[in-house]
Amino acid sequence: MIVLNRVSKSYGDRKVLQDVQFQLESNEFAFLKGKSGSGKSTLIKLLYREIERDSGDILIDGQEIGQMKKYELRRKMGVVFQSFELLERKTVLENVMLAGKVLGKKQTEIENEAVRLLTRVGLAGHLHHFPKQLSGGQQQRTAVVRALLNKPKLILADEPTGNLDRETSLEILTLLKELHEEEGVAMLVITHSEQLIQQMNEKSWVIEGGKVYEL
Amino acid sequence: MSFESLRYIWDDVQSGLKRNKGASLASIILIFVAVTLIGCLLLMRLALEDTITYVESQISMKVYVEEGYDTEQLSSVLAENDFIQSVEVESGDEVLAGLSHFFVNREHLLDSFTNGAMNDAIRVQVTDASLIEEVARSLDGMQGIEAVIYPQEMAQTLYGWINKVDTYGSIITLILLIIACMVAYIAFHLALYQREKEIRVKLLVGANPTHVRLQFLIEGLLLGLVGGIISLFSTFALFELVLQPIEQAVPFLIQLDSSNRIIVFSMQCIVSIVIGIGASFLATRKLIRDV
Ligand SMILES: Nc1ncnc2c1ncn2[C@@H]1O[C@H](COP(=O)(O)OP(=O)(O)O)[C@@H](O)[C@H]1O
Ligand SMILES: [Mg+2]
Repeated sequence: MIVLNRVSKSYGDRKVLQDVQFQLESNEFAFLKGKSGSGKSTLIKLLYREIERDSGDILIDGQEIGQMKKYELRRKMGVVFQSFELLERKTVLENVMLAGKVLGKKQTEIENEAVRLLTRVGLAGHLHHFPKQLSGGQQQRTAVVRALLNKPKLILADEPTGNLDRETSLEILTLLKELHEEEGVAMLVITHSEQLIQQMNEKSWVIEGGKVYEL
Repeated sequence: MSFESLRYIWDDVQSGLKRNKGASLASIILIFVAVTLIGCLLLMRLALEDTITYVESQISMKVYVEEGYDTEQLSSVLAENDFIQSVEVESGDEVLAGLSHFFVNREHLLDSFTNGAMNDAIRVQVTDASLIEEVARSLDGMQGIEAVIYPQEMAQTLYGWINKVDTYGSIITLILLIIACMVAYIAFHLALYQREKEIRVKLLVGANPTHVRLQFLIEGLLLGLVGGIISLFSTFALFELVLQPIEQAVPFLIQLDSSNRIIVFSMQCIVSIVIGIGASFLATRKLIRDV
């Protein structure tokens, strides 16, 4: 699914990633952990090209991502953020449907899928609520559904539990794991909580000193 | 692009304009003011052009032929000159008859000037009235020509006017255009800033940047169109309520062609659309590269 080969990235003099080797199989679930400032977000941003690497190869489905249009690349994946990135003026349903609309899909098709997934994550009663009216966990579930709406083969989650309490965090990670199995989607989930990772008992990688190691 | 995409973009255009009412209104008003003034200036310029053409046609010079010289021959020589449009011979008797109107009951005065006879004259129309002075000077030295008379001051005053209108008109138009563009540009920056997150999220979930940008270009087009259409109405009102009555009262002062109206109105449409789209094009240039 994802292959990183000798990928390096620095900001000015600050070398954040150096010759990173990493891979994630199709339909695989993996955690990526590391101290704050170790370069976790940098790695994920390279994958959806919010920033560009200095050197190395990044392949998704065997295709070099530098050769795709950014929006084509992003249509292959769903991204979940620590800060949810929901639009305040849109309802839960509208926020989710946005992901389908930018692809020009049919309204009814988008709506059906959005309602199905929102119901799946327990938000059927909140379709027409605004993000502010929801708890943190509910907002993040909305964001997860938005990432899944277009049935991508890959989900990238950058500290999706960073703004949530422990219990809600575990709930979100469990949900991601379940959706990974139900929807057949590969997931790379960043978290700095060692405890959560141990509780989940999943394959994990760690970033340290600019390198990525499999644990 | 699919029909659905267009529909979603159109929805976003509507909610975008509604959400940025203040900035949208400011853009519309500025575009309206600028385009109206530009239209009025253009209209006046065109009306003046007609006036000028009219007055020019009235400006002609008179060449007095030396005594004993063959008037017909001279007039055919003149007629061949590239800068001369037409010639018309007036015999000395005709000239005299024309003058005698002014000397009714005092014919002796006229007689004492002219000895009861007058040289022939040739009325000359030049092709380009701005050349009247030069043509006059060159004719003055020609054999067989005694004197050249033309309304020098009137011609010069007229060209002075035209030049002033052209210069100040262009400067004012340019300033207005720049101001209108800037306000529209600022309004779009504001709109982009307010929707920064929305744009960012759209691009992150895989929106085609061209589509995102299209939304703003359409918003620009609409603001321009609305401003432009209102200014069409006000220019039309000026035309009907001010210029038309003047034309009817003093027909020789301004002459309004209906083609003027078409020129002005289409100019206004083009200018306002260009301002609207241009400003949003410039404002959105950066956005698309960033996320
Ligand atoms: N845009 C940027 N410009 C300069 N330095 C940055 C930028 N983004 C991140 N960094 C630095 O790179 C390092 C890694 O950042 P990041 O990938 O966000 O870490 P993490 O997500 O693991 O906390 C940090 O030291 C951070 O200060
Ligand atoms: Mg981070």
